[in-house]
Amino acid sequence: MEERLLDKKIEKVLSEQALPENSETWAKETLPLMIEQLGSIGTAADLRDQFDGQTGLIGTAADLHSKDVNKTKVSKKIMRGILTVAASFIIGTYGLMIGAKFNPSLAENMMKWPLVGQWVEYLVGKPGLKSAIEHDRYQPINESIEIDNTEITLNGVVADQQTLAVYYSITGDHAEEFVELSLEIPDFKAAIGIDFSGMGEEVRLSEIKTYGHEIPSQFSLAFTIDNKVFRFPVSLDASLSRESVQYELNQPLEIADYGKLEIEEINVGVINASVKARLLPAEGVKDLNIGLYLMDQNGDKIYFDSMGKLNSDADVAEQSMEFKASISRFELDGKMFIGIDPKRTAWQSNLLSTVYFDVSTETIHSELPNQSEIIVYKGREVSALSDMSGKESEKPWITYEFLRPGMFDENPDYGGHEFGAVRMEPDPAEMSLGMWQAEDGMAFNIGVPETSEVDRIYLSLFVPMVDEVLEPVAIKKSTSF
Amino acid sequence: MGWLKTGTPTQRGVSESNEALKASLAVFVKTHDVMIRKLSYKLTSEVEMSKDLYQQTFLKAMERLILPEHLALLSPSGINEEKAAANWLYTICLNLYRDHYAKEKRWLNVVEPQYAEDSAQALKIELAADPDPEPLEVLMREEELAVIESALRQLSDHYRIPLIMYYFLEYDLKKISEVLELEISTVKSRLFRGREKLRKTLAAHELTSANPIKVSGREV
Repeated sequence: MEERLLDKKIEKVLSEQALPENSETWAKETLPLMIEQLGSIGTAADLRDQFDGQTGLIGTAADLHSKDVNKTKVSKKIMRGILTVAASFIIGTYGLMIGAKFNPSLAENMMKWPLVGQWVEYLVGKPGLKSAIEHDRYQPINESIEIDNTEITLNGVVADQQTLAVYYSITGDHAEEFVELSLEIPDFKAAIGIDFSGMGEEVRLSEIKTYGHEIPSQFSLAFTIDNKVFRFPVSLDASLSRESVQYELNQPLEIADYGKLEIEEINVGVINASVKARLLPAEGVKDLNIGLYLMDQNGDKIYFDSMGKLNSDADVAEQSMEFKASISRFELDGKMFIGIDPKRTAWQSNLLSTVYFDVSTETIHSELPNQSEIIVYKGREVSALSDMSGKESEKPWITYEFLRPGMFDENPDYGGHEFGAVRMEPDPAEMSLGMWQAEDGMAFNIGVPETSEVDRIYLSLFVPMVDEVLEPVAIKKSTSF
Repeated sequence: MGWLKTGTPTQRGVSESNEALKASLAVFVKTHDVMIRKLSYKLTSEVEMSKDLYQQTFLKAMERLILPEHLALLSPSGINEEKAAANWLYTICLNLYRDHYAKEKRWLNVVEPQYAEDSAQALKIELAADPDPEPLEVLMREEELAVIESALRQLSDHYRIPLIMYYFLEYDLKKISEVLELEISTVKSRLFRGREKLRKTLAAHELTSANPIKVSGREV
């Protein structure tokens, strides 16, 4: 079958579904079960009845609050109980899914926040932040600034030395739009490593990692929407944000024959662990992408993001690197190890940087020993790139996707590490780039504005170390604050 | 709590009686009935199991729907709230399947040949494209699509669930990564690899008339 046609047929089967036979009665059969269960739950229904009884007495919510304050307090208590159970359920479920221990105090602490249900979702994949909240490190701020029909409320923050989780809400004209958030501290006015949760939700979360810049106790947070700046002065409560545990390692981590990583500092704060290191590639090795992880005594690993000096055509004799992972000091248990995962680590040789792609002819040129090592995965397509608020770019973009086969990882959960470096002629500044580790190899997505008249894109390929065995090394706790 | 402070939800919340709550639940089930029937069947590929999953999904949903703060899910107003309610329910269904049903299904896969043939009969594909297709064309499509459906069933949940979320539920990569707690790159990888596996399986079948395939109990 012709491949494109086959793809369409596959998509058709995936996107459609017939109804199961004789399923028309399922709804009718299910509803009585729900009503029955509703009766057994009782509490929530009773609670609603309580409010129903008050309906005739009240005109507004404010009236309800003033006239039946005692009753409301009781109801609030009941609601709080129910919500705590609900939060426990949600967190318990997610806890199971991410393999984390569930601490009921998280549910308790979350009751101090508004919108409990929505916020729980933001903690998935952020065990460090989850743990910090579990240990009551959330600092409420609840201040608002309104400019031209747009109001931003800074709900609160969770912080450690180099990470800031910011909870905020936007209402008014620009409530649904992307907001630029900057952490303003001396010598640093940029938000590096922001990730956003809750676009379009009532409360949003942005996590800012500063990579090397310590967050002082006094700083400003600037939100920019539609060229308007909403600036909040923030005073951090040091008692909530300054605790950390330091570890040390007095030997470099050997990366087989490809070089070594000298660990200079391992610091585990309230939200994140950070590692400062120096990478020393071996002779003939141009660069290394490192898959660094922390491991506990049970063998559970948590992987670091990394930020290092960007690759260039010049040989890199050594480079400073910083790594960050979402783990809290509260989660450290027993003996800890640090290691480099060879399956997430790749090296670049001086000889492997000469692959390029001619946009005009869509031809791959390679000086790799085997020409088939790189292939075009998906041809040329013009796409509309849009920012997080859904605004489309003014320029049409061409995107290319590539796959370099040859690597298969046995662990199907493996992914997320970026490999490679790319440059573009004539102007690399306009290029958008996405790379990911596919299980069949290394996948690239490169986007260029159609109007930029780019002729050639260079791909610098990294080779994963699938065959190497690198053992983790125990680290020693040095200080604790 | 928010429902004491805000206008509309408060008024809606305080005026609902138990009967009204039941009525709202009935409307909720009716609204999502077809899609949850399809989704549970898509996930389990088996009628009895999908019925069980269908019922558990609504029962689990009800635990949350009765809470005043989830009034927007129970009685959504506007397209955004309706979409949010639907997505929320799909996530419950997916999570229930992943937590309970997927394990049972693995056992069923052990007796794959008989099971696969039986369920192929139930999984007839609805054809919606050409209003007046030629009979042979219909036959070919049914045959091909049933083989693809069968290949999809054989795919491990590892790849199948992201594919279903992407193509059937039309979730974007970010949403899939949130629900499955995977990095976006991993989701991309699984979608890509899942499609590849389907292609390979189908290539092995060589969907031609020279290679007869049993579909819906008749030989073609």
